[in-house]
Amino acid sequence: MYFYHKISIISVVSLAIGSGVAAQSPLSDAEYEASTNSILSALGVAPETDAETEAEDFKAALLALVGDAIAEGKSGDYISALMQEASDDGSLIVPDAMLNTEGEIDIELLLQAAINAAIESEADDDVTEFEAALEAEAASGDAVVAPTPPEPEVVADLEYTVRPGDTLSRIANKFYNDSFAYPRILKANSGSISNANQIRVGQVLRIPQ
Amino acid sequence: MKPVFIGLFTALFVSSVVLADEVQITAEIPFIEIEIGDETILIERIQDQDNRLEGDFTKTSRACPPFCIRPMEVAKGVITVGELEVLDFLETDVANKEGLLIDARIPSFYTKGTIPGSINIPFNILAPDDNKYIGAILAALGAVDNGDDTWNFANAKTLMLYCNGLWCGQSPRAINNLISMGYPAEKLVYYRGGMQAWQSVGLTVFVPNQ
Repeated sequence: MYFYHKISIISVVSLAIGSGVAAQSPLSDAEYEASTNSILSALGVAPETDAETEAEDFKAALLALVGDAIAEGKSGDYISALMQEASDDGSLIVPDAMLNTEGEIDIELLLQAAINAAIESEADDDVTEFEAALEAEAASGDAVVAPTPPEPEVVADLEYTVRPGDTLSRIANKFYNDSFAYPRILKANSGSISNANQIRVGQVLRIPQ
Repeated sequence: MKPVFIGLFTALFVSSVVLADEVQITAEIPFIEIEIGDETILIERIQDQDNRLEGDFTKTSRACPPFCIRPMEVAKGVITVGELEVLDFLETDVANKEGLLIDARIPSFYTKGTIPGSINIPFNILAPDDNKYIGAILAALGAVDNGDDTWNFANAKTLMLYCNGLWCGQSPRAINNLISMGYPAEKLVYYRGGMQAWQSVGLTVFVPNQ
């Protein structure tokens, strides 16, 4: 970030001294982002990356909690109970964006998120083993349905109107097949969402593609 | 606040304990002290009556364009103020968190010295057509996204902007950019004299990161 900042200073100094402000040339997005973040810090606003860190940390915590149970093939009810218990006793802190509209832990979503994360983490560990396992599962006929990535769309940001029951993580799940990806939506709508669990029905959100 | 200007003040204060300030801000106001957040800001004038400006701010004739003399009304409905109004703005709007004093210059100018209590929002980052993160800045200033590419500025802060001086185009450009995004002119204030006028009367300059 500091690096980009320096670049922006240099390019703008040459601009101010050389051709003057009238011939202002745009900076790169990365430079704008870095400068914008410095301004936000100066204004006492938490940098947007905090949400990303929170989502990543929570994903890791969730995997640590239920990863083994998923690997052992425990039932959805068992895993749900494990998550509910950890949330109740405070050992698992669920980010606001992943609570349901009632402000309660969104078990259904978390279960799916945990399974996806477990599959993903296994894939990271050993891609070929995962592929082989998938093939075996497919061959066995009663495979756990692996998440199918949505068709890549070459479009600008989509717009989505919030419906009853929607939470940021549910919307992230809908569009990215990844409930942990809600910081992307949060970031793209930072102007209109001040608090992750305060989206309102009818609100139009930008969904970056 | 940073040690530099506290240190500067201490030095000045020691001399002024013996001798009351001879160079006051006005006949009634020797100096001002403002609580902003958990910082105390002190602004007074240099007491050395032989002090003279040196360096960049002594120049009279920068090339115009681009360094042209700016009008008193830089945008319709935006009021223009002098040093005492800047101090008043710091004591009231900024201290009450209802306003922000903005140094609209690029960071390399800001880091050399700025008005105490101001924050740096460079004019070129307030670029609605180029900076796609601009919404985050508007939100931090108190504007609310209507969700249809317009903003509600009802609770937005009042902004007082300045740059290098009456020949500087950076804060006028920032003001016009803000207006183009819908920022109400009555919530924008222009300190036309800028750093040159500020320093020409020996008012306290804060050097960030020192």
